[in-house]
Amino acid sequence: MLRAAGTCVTGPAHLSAGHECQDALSLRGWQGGWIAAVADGLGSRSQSARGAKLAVQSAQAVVRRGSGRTSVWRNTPARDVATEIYRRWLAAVPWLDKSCAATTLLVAVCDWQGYVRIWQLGDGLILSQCDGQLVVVTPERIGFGNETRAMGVHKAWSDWHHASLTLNGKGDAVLLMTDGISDDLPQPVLQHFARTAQQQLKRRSRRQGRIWLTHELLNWATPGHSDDKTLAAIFLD
Amino acid sequence: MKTIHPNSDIDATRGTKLKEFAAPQARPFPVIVLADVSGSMAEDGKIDALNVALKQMVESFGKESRLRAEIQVGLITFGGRQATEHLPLVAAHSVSKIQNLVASGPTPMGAAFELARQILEDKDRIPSRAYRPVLILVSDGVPTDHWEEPLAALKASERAQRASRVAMAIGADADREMLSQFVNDPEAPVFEAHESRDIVRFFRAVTMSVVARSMSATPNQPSPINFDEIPDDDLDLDAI
Repeated sequence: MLRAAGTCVTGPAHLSAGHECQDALSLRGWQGGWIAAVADGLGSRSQSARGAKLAVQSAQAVVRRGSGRTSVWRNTPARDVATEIYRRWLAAVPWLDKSCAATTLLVAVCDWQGYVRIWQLGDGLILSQCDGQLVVVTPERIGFGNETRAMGVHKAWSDWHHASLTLNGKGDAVLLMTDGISDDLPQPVLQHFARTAQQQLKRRSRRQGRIWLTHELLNWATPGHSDDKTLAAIFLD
Repeated sequence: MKTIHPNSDIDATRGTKLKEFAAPQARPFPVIVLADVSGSMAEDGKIDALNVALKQMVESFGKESRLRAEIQVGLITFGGRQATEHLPLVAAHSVSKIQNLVASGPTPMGAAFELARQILEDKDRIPSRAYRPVLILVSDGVPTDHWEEPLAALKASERAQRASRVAMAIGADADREMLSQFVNDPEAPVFEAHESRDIVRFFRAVTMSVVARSMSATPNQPSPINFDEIPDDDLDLDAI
């Protein structure tokens, strides 16, 4: 059975400043599968919280508006999907200068057969665990922390990363997270992190899973962690 | 996509809670000084002022809160035949002593650019989670090696070019044209040090800017370096 859970928590920096969360999460069922969208509004932009929300909503809307037939969906060019999401986001952002709402976007669309298509623009991390092997789907970052590509700023298809994978057996999972989490995860612990998330979430209902995740992220162990944190997981149970 | 095999280096003894996987250190904020220690720096008390200024800067960094970022400091010197890591990049709070710089020989600045580039490109020394590093170049003269190619490589390399670069020209003989090619912060043009105390003022200004960045919610955003606002009210205790 395909299941999913996720949460989005406001980071200490925004809490202490009285600002709203600039991450956004949308995790919804879709024809026996799931659509997970995670976004991280750029902290330096005035309307990034709104931009992040509109990004995850745009991703959901574009996938839902597409063909419900599995074969058609799987063969829709990745570039066309990214273009449609971006266009929808640009139309939804009410300000003339779209860069004021700049945001990253990570999307995973899992159909009822466990076939997952992934899009990513900007930082954050997507991991998959299939047949006991961890795959870091996100390309290695070139620069330093908090430097990212974003909707509203970067407009080339080459700025996006696209991938596909299949969840085959129990324990297989795909995880999406913003850099508030991923930047504090050393590479050697990624596999254990992904495995632990999947094992803990499968024991809980979706609601209980969200509560557990929220508690974990609110009590993050890295000293001085300040960012908002969002994590979504789709897994086979 | 990168595959990590099950037998890769994981710590199976870790707990079962996600938060326990989080890195136990705040994100590093590297500050690397490229200091001219050529023979001319021995004149007019320049090297002495530089020694004082560097110690004050590192002490100030070490006292700062490490809540949001851990300021790291490294010192590359260039004088004589080569550039050397006088102080390898390390957390400022862990620096107990810096050996005094000694001025001698020519000015191999190109070698310093190359060494800085290598450090900035090394993901083991400066991980991707680090905040954007700051490079500080101080010089009183003209490079004596082939500096153009190493500087071009520094400015073109994928990671190293992202560092903020500021510079100080000490005295009338400094190569201002070259230093202006080094800087990349439009809000911080080459600082002019006309006398020894200006060296200390420069490092105070840089210290204030770095500390402000390290404590802000967005440490990657440049914090203006306003040299004019640095108080110059020290008592002149050097005169006898």
